[in-house]
Amino acid sequence: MLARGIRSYHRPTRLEDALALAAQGMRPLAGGTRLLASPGEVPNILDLSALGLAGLRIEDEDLVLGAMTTLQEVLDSPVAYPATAGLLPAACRAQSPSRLLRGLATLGGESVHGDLDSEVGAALLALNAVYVVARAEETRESPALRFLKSPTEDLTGGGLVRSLIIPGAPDGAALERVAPIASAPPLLAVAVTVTFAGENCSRARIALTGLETRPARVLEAETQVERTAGDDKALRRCVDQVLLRAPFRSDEQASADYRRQIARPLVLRALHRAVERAHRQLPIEVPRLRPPLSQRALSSLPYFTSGRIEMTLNGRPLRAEVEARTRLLDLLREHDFFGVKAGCGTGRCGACTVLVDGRPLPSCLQLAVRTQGRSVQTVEGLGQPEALHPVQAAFLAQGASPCGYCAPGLLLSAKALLDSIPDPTEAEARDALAGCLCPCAGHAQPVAAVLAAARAHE
Amino acid sequence: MSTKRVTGQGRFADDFRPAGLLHVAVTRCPHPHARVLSVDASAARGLPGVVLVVGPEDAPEVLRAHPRYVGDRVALVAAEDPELAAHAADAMRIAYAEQPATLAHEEALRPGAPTVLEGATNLAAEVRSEAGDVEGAFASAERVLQATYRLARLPLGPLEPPVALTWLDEDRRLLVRSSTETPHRVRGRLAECLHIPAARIRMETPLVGGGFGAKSDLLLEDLCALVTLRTGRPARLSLSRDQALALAPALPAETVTVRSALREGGLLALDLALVLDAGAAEASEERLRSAVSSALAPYRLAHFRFHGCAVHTHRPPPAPVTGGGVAFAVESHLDEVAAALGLDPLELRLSLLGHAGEGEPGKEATREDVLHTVLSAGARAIGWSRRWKASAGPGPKRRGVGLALARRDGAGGPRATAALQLGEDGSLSLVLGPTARDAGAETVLCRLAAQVVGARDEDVVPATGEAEFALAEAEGGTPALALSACAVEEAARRLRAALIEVGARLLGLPASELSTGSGAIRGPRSRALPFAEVGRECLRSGAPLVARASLEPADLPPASAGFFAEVETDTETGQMRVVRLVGALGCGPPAEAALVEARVQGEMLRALGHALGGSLPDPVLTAIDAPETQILFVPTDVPVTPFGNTFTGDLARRALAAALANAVAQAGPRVRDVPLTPVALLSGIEALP
Repeated sequence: MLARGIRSYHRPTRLEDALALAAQGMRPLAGGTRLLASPGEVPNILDLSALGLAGLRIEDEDLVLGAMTTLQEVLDSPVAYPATAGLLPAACRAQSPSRLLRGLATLGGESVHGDLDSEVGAALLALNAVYVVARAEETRESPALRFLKSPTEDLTGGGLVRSLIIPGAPDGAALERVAPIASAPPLLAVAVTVTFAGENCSRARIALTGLETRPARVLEAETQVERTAGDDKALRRCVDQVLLRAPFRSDEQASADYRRQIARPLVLRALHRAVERAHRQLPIEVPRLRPPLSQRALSSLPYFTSGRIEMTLNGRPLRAEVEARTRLLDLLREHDFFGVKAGCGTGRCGACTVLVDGRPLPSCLQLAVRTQGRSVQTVEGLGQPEALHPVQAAFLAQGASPCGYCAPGLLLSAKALLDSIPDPTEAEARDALAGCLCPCAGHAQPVAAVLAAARAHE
Repeated sequence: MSTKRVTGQGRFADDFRPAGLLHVAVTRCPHPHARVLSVDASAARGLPGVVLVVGPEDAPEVLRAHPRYVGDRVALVAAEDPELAAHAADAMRIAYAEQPATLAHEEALRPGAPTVLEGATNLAAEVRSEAGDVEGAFASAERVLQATYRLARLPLGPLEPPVALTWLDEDRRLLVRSSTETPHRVRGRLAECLHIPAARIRMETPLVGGGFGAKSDLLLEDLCALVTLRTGRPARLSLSRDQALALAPALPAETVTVRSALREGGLLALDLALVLDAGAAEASEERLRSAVSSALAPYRLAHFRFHGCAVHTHRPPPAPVTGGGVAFAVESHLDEVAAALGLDPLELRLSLLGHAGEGEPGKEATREDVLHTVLSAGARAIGWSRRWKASAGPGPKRRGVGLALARRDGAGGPRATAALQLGEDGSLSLVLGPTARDAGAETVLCRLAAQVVGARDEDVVPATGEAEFALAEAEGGTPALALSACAVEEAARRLRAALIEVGARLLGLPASELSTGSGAIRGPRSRALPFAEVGRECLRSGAPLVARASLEPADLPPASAGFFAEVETDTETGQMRVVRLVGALGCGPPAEAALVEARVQGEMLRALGHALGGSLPDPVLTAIDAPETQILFVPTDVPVTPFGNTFTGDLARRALAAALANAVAQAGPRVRDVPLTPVALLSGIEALP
């Protein structure tokens, strides 16, 4: 389900070059979770991944996030938790249950193309993020309030998001959501931050999804909390304003009335939690993080339409002729690596998972040319029948994949987990496998197999 | 154990590329009901690389000039490249005259409803049955309850998307390699619609990446085959996951109205009316009958009436599975009856199991002992006695525990087949139907065959390829593993008997003095004849030893299971959280517990996905959605197979949604529609007194 009509691929390493190409109308490609999964025509692709725009750092108490920072990098960064009172990592996790998609989706892409119910968008609004937009002639700053309303306004004519700045950590924050199942997009989500100066709230931010528009703040509600102690009465006045002002949406999933109705408890709970956190100055919990994998610097690749690429596949060199539009999935299957399974074509099922430089990603959302010079591993490179990898042996012993179609994705996701965390908890194992659907066996056996493999490895 | 599924070596339908492959794309109707006025294929035909364009007039056997649902096939193109084929299919200019459509099954029988099949009403099948004196029971009732339960259409969502590959062999026979669960049925349907002898069609049977009924019928194979027959070239056609969720056979939409007559603190009579959405396809009465017999089989009711209708709508045809709607309605309604009578739902069920009564659906032996054991084991595991006292805390969250019984007999289910053939070297090929070839199960079945025949484990090898096809598993669905094991055992017994018969002749000894073991026939005074010698002898005489067995699902005892759920409902938002699930299965403890448990876990999670996420575009749950789930294999009879003594599948689908709804109702509203969305829960909470 790759975007159609891809004719050329450009990967500059200098921002000036990227801006010039963007001004010519080439489509910027960040993570690719939306661009490559949509059926539209995209003739010329401008890959932003070699511009060095990824990464998080603290600058003068501000959190600076490169536009190409992935949602997973936010979750894996120790600085993201205190700098956002835990809100941004929570939103990244809620936004997608899949580590595969979180490993691709970027903050920039999510800001520009995020859908109506983007919880990351709501969190960035509540965190007062400022977008740094580069253009050929100048670099401008645009507050999230403006930028997220209509990103194209700031980007028309070839602008590119360079980074996001989250100025100062709030004292308290919370995210509340309602969804039919945990992994589904929310019917309504509320992101809240509060900052106190002495006894009184100096700043409150309330952003919602489930609106007729993209996620938005409710300014009238925020002022009801500001300059109060965040007492119950103030919070209730604030909620009244949310219900009055927010343009709740009606769609197939829920009516505007339903959304308005649940907005009251959700906003109230989020506010209560945020204020309590601020008052009690609770430390922000940082989960155990996977040690960072080395990042390979990408080289420039201008005007690629077709040609030979080289990569390391399962430890051996592979040279292959590809076109700009060739997906990694198709390339590998053309070379008879049939362990890479075609599933949904949109990255949500995980059947086509491979490891690229040790990171699991869905090969259906990866242009083959993007893996030039990198190291790719498929299930064929995991272990042989006579010398199985411990996770393969554990899957067999547990009967964890009855039909076998999901096994390659699950196994590679599990390997990536065990390579960085040899003793995962059940929650960590579930998180690692959540990008791969397994309708035959449910998930108990695969999760048990991962834990058994970890024990066997000790 | 076979490692192919964990090393990427297992071959599924799409894992094969014949040379010179053409890619097929289908132009699908955007309207639920329409007539094609004109087809302008000039733009598509003019594209370089397009090899074939077929409109509905050119191939009425596989394309429709009168499409009957959104996504119905109207035209097809074949091209050298998949992207080009998709582009060409979009370039077909087709003018439609939209027709009025019947979209809701509840409307299908209203006078004046647009009809789906020409020259017929929308009534596809109808079944009535009655036992006892229902009118009299309702006339004498102290109280009558009535409620209507609805299940939305629910896609099944196996991971492997539907795909078909077709090509011609050197004898110009049609080869078909597809993701179907039912190759035999597909071959029959192909022969019928393409007007070629079935013997000219060879089905390859690769691994199947999940099915659950979604791959139980002709879906793509005919379109693909048409391209191969017209061009002489190999062709491939697939559905994307999103297309498959919309178009592949799904669980049907169902509406069930239940009336119950209560008297003297008990349930006197039930009156059920089912309307099932059969879509734009034929439906069988058998299916309606089994829907109700399964749901009511556990209970003994003196007075009972059922009226079931399958109706046509302008929707894609559903999967050939039964029982979900009636089971959900009956198991929900029993809790409503219990509430009205002030009884514990568990006690009510136990009392209904004990009642002796007449009546068709309840007349078979109910094996109360199994049901009692299943219910009490599950109740113990979920903590029924402790938790049934509800939880009305100060906060907005309420906890509840619910249960539902599931019962399944073999009526209408798929057969299981097996065949064993002795080779000239003494090895044995075991031929299994496609769905018995799941990881692990295949290995276990081979070992079972070896034990029964008296061969060495390594000498029994699963056969793959065309040969398997000789053994059809009849109508759709997945046969019970236990049934497959029985079929293997029976085939192995027959082969052993045949071996001994030949051995007796060769050794000049009476068969009664012979036995088998370690790959040889053994007689008195340590005389032994290796199977290899028997194999060679049979080959010389032109009569290789083959034994087959094909068993009816009715050959297994009926299966009973109890499903229990503990849920927490947020009364301010309608959000439901499943705290814990317990499935208690009355199949005896299987020796291969892990294999069986994986399947039951999967089915429970699919049922949970449907019950909670059925309104989502893709209702398959991820690892973070899966609640703590406990599976109990309740010891009943001596287990006769490695997989227990009866069905372990297709039980959760019938009961889990009711267990959840009953758990919600314990401390909150009664929700009678599946899926149980937060929206439905909250509106139920609002309506509470």
